[in-house]
Amino acid sequence: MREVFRVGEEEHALHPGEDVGDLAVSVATQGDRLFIHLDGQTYELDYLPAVRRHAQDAALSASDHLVAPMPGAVVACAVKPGDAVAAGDLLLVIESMKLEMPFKAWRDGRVASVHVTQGQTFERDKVLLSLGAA
Amino acid sequence: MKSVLVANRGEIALRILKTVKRLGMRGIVVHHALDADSPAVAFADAAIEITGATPVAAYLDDAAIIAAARRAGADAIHPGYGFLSENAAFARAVEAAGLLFIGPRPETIGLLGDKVRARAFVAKHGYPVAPSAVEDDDPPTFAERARALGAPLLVKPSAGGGGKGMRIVRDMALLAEELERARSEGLRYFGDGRLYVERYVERPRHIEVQVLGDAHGNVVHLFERECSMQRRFQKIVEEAPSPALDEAERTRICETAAGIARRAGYRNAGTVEFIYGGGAFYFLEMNTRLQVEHPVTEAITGLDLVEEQIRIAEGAPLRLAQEDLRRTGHAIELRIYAEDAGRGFVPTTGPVLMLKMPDDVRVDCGVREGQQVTAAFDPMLAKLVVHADTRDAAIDKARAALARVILLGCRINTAFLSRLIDTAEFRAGDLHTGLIAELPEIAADPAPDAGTLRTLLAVAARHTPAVVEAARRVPALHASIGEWRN
Repeated sequence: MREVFRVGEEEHALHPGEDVGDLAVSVATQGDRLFIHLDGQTYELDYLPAVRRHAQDAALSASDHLVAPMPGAVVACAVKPGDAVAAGDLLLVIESMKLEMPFKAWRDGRVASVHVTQGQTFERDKVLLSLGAA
Repeated sequence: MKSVLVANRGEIALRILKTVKRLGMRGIVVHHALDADSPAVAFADAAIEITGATPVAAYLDDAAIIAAARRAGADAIHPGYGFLSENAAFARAVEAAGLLFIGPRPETIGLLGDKVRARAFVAKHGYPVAPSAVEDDDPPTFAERARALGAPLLVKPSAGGGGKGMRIVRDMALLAEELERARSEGLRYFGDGRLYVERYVERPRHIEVQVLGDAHGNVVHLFERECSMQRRFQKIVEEAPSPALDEAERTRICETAAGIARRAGYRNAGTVEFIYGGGAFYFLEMNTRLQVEHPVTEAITGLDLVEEQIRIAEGAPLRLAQEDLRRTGHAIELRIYAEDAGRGFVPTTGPVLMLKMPDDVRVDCGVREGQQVTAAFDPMLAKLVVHADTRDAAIDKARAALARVILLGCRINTAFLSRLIDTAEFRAGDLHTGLIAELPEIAADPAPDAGTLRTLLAVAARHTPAVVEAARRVPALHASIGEWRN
């Protein structure tokens, strides 16, 4: 199968799922996420429906939340909701890639909630802890 | 031996089963429920489910695995790498159950698997080791003796392996803190908080030598592998031969390795690891098992190391003498990891929505389409192994093959590997274990150029139902112009 698209001045011939000529494209989708392999590189694209774009703008400030940078497990929680913390205080320790990683308070504040418990495993982007005003 | 149970998972379980079945034996594999759809389970003659408090714990349950082997009528157990492969108690329990352990004798694992005992053994026989301080020698003075070695230092758990719990200390003020963290990690991963510290060789190369020993006292080496391309102390590209060694050095390091194995009465396949820098080499550790990177040795020697392991376990003498062993060409292995090189090599997870591998090079792959890559296991998914006449040709072949690895649904490191082996440093063979950390500019995938971006958006639009439907909903010309008519 061959699909041709004109984008601006350029025409692109696509051969979905096939390795033909010098432009080989493979595509897989999962919900609104697209994975496209093109000329030896894989790209991830997220389709942003209008509803989600607006929701993002209205969301709370990202600086209130500790978001998991990678999948892992909680080794220790050093704080509980209501605790006052100063910038640099240890909040929790996670383990990922067989290494321990401490997370410290990035500003002064009060722990609003701890969303994980010791021993719990989590995926990337999980909100681990939320920090309120001091 | 008529039947072998593989006590492992992923690519190595499949790789071992392939040799077992090629030799006309029955191949059995144990598996956790998360691996039920894996290629190894599909390929095995029989698969037995094992359970555990965590998925990893299932593969560490020695009693359950031995019970599975007996129930399935296996004659032998191959432990692969990781998990129970370097556990002397497991090897002993396998033998006590009347089964063959495809690996070294338990006492050899006990001696060489303990880094501290192994170093002492090697030093005692006159082979080179790096200056070090061992906690067990005199615990109260350990920190003091460590400090006396001078920076930089490398802190390691005595019972460790695979880079876990290792820390480089350049600022001695941080020594106490780093010792505590290494101890905590050692306790958690190996159930053993003892540490040792050695002088860290700056810009070191990691060079290791494959050895084989039989039950009749014969030991040969199968040349060296260079494994200096590491991130987080773990190898991601390995090659044979090492571009660093001339023939005299090659002979020296390979004969040292064979000598250590001979002194230990080593039986089966093993690897002696060295740190190499400034023309000198030091014994690092011995791995008493098959290594992840064994295929590069297979590529240059034409041997099947699993077949040799099985023959040795059966008591057969080595088939080749040292002078019969030859190597040809250059081989490179590239480890395909579920990880994001642009974000500090953090593991990634996701479904394997599409999987296509090149078919003109060796690919040892532990996943298949439809499987889920989870955080439960090590993120290495597959290995790609190329062999060519020269190192340059092998690099070109590797890059061509990497470009044809298609795994969609979970980010992998193939584009990073391709950039890495195309750097001037790698091309020149100018390698050291810190090189990847010195090349932050190649870590992240470059942003697509304008032409690529347009292609991507066109493909994306075509595959996004909302966009396709919106296009269909555009009203017909007459409807849209409503009341307006000429």
